[in-house]
Amino acid sequence: MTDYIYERGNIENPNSKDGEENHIYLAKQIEEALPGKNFKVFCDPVNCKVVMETELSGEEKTTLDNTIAYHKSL
Amino acid sequence: MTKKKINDLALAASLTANMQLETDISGATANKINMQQIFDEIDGRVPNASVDVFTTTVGQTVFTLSSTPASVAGVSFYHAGQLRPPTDYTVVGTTVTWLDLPYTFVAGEEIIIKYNDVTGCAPPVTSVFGRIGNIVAAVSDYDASQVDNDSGVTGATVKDALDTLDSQSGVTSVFGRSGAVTAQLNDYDASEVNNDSGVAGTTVAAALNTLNAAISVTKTIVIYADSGNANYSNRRPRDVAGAGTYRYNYFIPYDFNTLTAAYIVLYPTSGAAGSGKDIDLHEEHTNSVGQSNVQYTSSDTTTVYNLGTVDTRYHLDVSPLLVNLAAGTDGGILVDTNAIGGTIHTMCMVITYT
Repeated sequence: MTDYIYERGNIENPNSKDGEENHIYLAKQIEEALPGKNFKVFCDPVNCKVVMETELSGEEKTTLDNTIAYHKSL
Repeated sequence: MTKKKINDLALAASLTANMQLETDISGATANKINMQQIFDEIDGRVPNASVDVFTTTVGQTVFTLSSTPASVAGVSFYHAGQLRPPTDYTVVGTTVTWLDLPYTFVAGEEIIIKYNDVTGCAPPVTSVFGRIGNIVAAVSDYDASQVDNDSGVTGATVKDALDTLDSQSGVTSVFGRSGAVTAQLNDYDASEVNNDSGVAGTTVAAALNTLNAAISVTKTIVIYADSGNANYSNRRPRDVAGAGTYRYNYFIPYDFNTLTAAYIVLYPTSGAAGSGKDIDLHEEHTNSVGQSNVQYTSSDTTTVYNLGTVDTRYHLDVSPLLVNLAAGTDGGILVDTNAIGGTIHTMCMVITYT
């Protein structure tokens, strides 16, 4: 297990909805960005922790960073 | 030679008699020798002189004394009343050998040999522990090892006896402390204290464990699925088609301490049973008044499940997502099935805790 920790910010903001008014889950976005990777996401008021079963490569880590940055921007 | 005044009349009389005796048998020269004896006696020493008298045979050179002289120098050899110089004879043990061979004894000559014998005369005491005069006992006159032990305690000397008792004295310290020891924290663990209470357990630790087990009863809350939409035999489940979602609200009771288990009870139908079922779980909860509804969130969208056999009970474990729970937490779980191939009958959510 490898933990990747990010500031909570706007992650899992209940107002973030897609065109069908469904909530946009960070986990779903990461799953789509990093297919085949098993992980769980835990958020508290300060941080969000992405717990990966395996360590990410540099490129994968960049993808994860970008995915989270995008999620926060929604 | 030191002159000393004789005050003891009895002693003076004894010495006078002694002088007279020596005068009778030894003549003037012997009398001079006995003056040394007089002063020895005054000094407190007992001369204990031995006198062996021999009547010579022709050419006799060896004279055997009746006891061993204390010192060779103290031997006096008299021939016909005349003191002979030490060069005229030798003394070895009890044997006195006449050396002045130019003079050969004839039969019937009188030889007198005077000496102080070893066995009859104790060496004089000149001081006690370095002290003279009227000696009284003082500290450090003796060590315990110099005093014979005639008590019932084992040991040849008093020192040995004391060592014996010391080895049997037992307690030398308590918890590494000596002196007036008082109890302090960490002297004992609960497992080292006997339990004489009514609570089961031989030690306090065992009794505490008994009580802890008694109060650590696992409790269960059950959250039923939202309104059912079809009968399932005698049950009324919440059915979820191959792709669909269902949610459970939950509230953690105020006596909550630790989560034991959390799962959703379901029965898969044909198509939903078996392995490789992609089910997403999303959880959110709030621990107290004033917190956001998504104060805590968690998601697992990548785990796939084996839901087992058709119409056979299965527990969908949701406990990995229930972290940061507290007494009074309220939250919800969304179960999102992703084309799992069939309907599942969801019955309820179960949370157990202590």
